[in-house]
Amino acid sequence: MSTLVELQHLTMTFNASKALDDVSLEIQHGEVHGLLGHNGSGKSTLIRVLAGVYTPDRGRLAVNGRDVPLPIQPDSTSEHGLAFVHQGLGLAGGLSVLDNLAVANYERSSVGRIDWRRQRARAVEQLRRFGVPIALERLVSELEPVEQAIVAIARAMTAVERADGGRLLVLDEPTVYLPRPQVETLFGAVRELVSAGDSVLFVSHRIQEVLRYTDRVSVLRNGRLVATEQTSSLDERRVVRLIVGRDLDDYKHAVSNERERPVATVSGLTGKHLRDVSFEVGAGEILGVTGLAGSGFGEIPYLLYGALRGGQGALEMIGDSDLANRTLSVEELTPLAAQAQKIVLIPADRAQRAIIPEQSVQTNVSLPAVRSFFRHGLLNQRQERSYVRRLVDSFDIRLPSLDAPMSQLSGGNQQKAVLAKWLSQVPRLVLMDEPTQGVDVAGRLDIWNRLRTVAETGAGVIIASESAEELAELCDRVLVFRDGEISRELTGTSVDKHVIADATLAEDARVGGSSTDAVV
Amino acid sequence: MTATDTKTPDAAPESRTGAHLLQALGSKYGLILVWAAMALTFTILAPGRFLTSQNMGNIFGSQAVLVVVAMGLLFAVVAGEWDLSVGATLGLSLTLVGKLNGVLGWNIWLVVVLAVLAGALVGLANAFFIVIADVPSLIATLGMSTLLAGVTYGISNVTVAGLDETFVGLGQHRFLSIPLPFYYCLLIALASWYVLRWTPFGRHLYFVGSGREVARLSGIRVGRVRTLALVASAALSALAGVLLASSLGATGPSIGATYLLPAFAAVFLGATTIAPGHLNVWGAVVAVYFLITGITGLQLLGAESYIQQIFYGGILLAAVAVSRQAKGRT
Repeated sequence: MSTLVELQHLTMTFNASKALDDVSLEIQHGEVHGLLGHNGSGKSTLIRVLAGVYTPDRGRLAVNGRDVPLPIQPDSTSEHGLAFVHQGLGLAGGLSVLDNLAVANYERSSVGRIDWRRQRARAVEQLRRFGVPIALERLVSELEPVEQAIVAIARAMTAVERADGGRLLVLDEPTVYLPRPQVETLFGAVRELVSAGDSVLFVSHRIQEVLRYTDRVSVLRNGRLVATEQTSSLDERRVVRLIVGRDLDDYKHAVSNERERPVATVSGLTGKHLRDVSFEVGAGEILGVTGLAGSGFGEIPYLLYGALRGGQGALEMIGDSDLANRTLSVEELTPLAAQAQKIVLIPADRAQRAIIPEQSVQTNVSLPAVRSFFRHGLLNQRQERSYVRRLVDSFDIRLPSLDAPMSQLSGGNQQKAVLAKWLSQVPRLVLMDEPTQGVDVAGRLDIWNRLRTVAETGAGVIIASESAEELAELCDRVLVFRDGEISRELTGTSVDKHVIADATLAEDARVGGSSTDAVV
Repeated sequence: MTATDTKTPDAAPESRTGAHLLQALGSKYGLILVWAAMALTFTILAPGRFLTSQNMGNIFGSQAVLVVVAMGLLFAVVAGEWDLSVGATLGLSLTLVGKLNGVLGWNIWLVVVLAVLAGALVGLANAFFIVIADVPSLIATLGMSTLLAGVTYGISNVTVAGLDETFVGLGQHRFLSIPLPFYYCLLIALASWYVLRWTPFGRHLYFVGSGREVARLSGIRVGRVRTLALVASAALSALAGVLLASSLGATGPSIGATYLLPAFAAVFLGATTIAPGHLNVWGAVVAVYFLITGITGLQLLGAESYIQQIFYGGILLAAVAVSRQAKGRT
């Protein structure tokens, strides 16, 4: 194999801290190269250098043996054969597949109008190689997530089709929003590219996916490249050690089998997919809810918080010696009313629903408590600051300063800040959707420990997640959903990633043709 | 000929430093520095005309109305709403004062209260269409603006003088050679700063404006916050109309509309200074005086009055561009 992309001695400094420290990396023709690392390890910086967003302090880049001066002009990356698909995919949901594919470069007729017949023929060609039939007239927003990802890949590859020599597709966390069975489909498409001689740089947090689908793996830690190895020589434990730099103490908890008194009882819960579901969650219990996408489990946290309209059912919050029982109608529930009952929601979509990226960490974190700092007609901002400072210390949030905008924090630290924002409210019921999405390995353990701690203080916790591994590590009990109903209840030793994965997929294993392993 | 000759050499260095100027605008006190530099330049180029207490007094006094409109607009924009009806609301209130006091002779203080209440009602009507009927604020307030202009002409289509003398005195007397309205507008800016910076409501306004869904999930009553912001915007615009009536001693139906664009320019130019990247009160106040200094100076140097429109429009475009850049960097 020969070298497609060669990066040498790449160094990049932000505010005196090295985001990239003398990183040298080679990507061969026809390989899938995994790039792993914590949030803040330098992965995103590396990609942004390749995309021409950042100018490195030092370093060389060569593509197909030709030197490419840094910084690359962002609009000339395609000339060099560099194609990018970012996490958000960057598709226009309200337009058709054809429109989205055409947007990179239109086929013009001799008089300059768009030649839709040729455009259509080309689009068919673009998609055909991936072996997934997608009708060109469909709106992108109506496609399955994996179909959207494939449209994005097809479009990115079209942009570089005129580059001579090999081409590199950078896939930046493409699987975050994919239901597990569709990951296999996505990598079918990736294999297709690689067999045609192109290369793929696959950036991910998901160790299993990287182990399963890549040829070689590079690991970044604190801006340094700590290893590039053949994937076949690696196992999960070794990868974790490379990423973290130490063995993680396995997060273990005793699954508690006796439930204490329930803290909340849900009855007749109905939503877009959910159909008349009833369950309860105990004080001190971490209850997992899972299933395939569309099985309805993902609505539960939002319905029980009044964040999603159109739900029905009842949520009874069970009181104790101090508090009377209180039954809330899901139909009429609002976030404000939920908060009054000490219910908190930590949504999965951080950027849209949990944080305001351009506002400071301080204002983001203090929001639910801000009224308590309003005394004698003034916001006591010194008091507010020390309150946030205490939370930042106790949640071990790494940040440049309390006034730094939230967007400057890594995903893991953002998530910890969101946890701090809500857990400081001493909740009785914690609702959380995909707790560690976009969070690195070490941050994940911190977050799991936090959730365990809040449960130990007597709160009930409901976790919606597609990650069988996460549920197995974290939950005392897991409800598996299918077609809007509870299909299995797993307790005790059944709270195991293989059992959860089997239960989730059971009859639907044929979807995406994946085996159980692919689902963890 | 001489005038043209002296102007050409000045224009060249200005355009060369244009890029630096934009960069300087992005930093915290950059705008103030540019302002000072500009004032100094005009003092030198128009000796004995720019830096006189009369001219300074005029500069500070004449812009008080704009400061008040900008404060109103700031509430709407911070909450994420475009209020294009601020100028028309000002015009309505101004004309109400002229008609009810100047023509019909009603008690001026009653009229003042009615004018501000009329403004608040406009704000509520805006909120009805924007918050409840879910019309985009740009469209709703554009419609409201035209509607109000019609209503204003319906009330009175002539210039009215002869307003209550005490009332006019309060708008025209000077203290330390600056007209009193300057001090009123400072008080209103102070109050706006207090609300936006030092109360939970101010915090909520910013959250609703920059992330409505985050705000909703955080338990903020988003609809109420948006409504209050629109009412504040309209009520302050109406108050600005009252202030204008008192400092002019007269009213006219077509004056209001001229305040719309300068107010937007000030609010967005203000977001490039004091707290760059964030809409803020003192930034907007500085911006108002930055703008008028530029215009007054250029006019003293012989520029035609159309320079005003070019300046306001150009600055609005540049300011929004700079503040978007500042936001992107952080």
